[in-house]
Amino acid sequence: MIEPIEYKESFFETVDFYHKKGWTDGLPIIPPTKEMIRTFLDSGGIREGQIIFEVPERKRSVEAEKIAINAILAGCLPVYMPVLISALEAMADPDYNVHASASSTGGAAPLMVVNGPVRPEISLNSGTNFYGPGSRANASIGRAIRLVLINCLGAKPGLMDRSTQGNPGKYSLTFGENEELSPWESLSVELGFEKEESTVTLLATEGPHNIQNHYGLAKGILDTSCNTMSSLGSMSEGQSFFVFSPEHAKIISKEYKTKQEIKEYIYKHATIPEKKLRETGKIDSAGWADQDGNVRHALSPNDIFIVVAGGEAGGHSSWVPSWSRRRNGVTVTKKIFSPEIRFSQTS
Amino acid sequence: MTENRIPIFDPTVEMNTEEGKLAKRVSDLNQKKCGLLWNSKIGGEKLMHFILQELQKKGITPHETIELKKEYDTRPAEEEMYEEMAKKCDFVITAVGD
Repeated sequence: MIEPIEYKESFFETVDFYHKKGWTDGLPIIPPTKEMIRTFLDSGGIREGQIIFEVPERKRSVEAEKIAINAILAGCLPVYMPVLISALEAMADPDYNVHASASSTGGAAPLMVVNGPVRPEISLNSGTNFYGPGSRANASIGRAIRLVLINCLGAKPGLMDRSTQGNPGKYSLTFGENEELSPWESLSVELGFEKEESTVTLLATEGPHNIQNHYGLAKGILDTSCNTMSSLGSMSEGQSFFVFSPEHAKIISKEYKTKQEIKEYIYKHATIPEKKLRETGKIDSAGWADQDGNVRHALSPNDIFIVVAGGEAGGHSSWVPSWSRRRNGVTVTKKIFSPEIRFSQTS
Repeated sequence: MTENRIPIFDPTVEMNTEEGKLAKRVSDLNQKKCGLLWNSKIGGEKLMHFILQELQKKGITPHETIELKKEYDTRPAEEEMYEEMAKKCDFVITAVGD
């Protein structure tokens, strides 16, 4: 079993030690104990010494006990471990491109959308203020990911994390889809999983962009969404998420019964003239436009992901674009396993 | 006595520093076939050509230059690209620029 490297006399001395070593994100930590590490390993269904997270570009292999330590530091409960482990599996997938997204000047945050029965089991917020404070699961699972990046991947701000500005989602950008208030099939079902299966979906993203519309009908809300998507600032081709509030989703669904219809509408209408991109120095050469001289953020309608989250009231949705250009980083979904199944996979 | 003291656990992971096998070094770069591997971002191209110019100032003139561009700036080059460079070039200059 992993052993302590030293001991401290008081709680404050301990927390300060972790800060001074650069082992935190700036917030105080929960000091791990041997017993807690054991509990967290068991709750994840993982064994000491087992490699959980491997990033060849960084020449780093992260063992189970290091994941447990960082989860404890972040304030996680043991029951969050299955979500965290699957999220790290998604992040280790070359499609996600953690090496680049964790170091790029673009300042990406790992957007994490959780689907399935695990959401209520761990009290993951998918309702009111889901991006904001108030839920331990939302706050600490994303934070655990950040601490793993800092401590196990060397993504220290100013060293291997070269974000020009970063974004607040780098503390945590984790939420559940509000499947109960969605008029459409959930993201995981859309991706081919069973409704009874839990999944986690990751994309390295910018922060959320507000889509505010209090009076519009379906077309008005979708046109507001298109306008948000085709703004100059974030125009850089790639995947993105529309996170519709239940109120917006309800209005849109009166006219658009499937997500595919919405994706196609947005793809068609969220355009910006290539000329504008050249005039403003966003691009330095032609050849990006369609026959009408327009450029799109999405490479196809399927680059647009749609989920529902938020409180029942309010005309606020959001658009969360990929940090990268084109296919430098893409969405990855992994199934979440119970500890028993995890243990059986390695026995 | 450690009962009442708080343990510190190291949350970090060290990089695997085992060295890879280096290719045989070219003793003289002059009049050799030079590969230029561009990461596909504008700063990368500038830096790559700047290095080539600096070599030329030192009297190192390639016999031939072969320019290749990665499809994605943040991802490793395709295997075929490495093979092509190994086949056609005596040495390669690459640059990471934003």
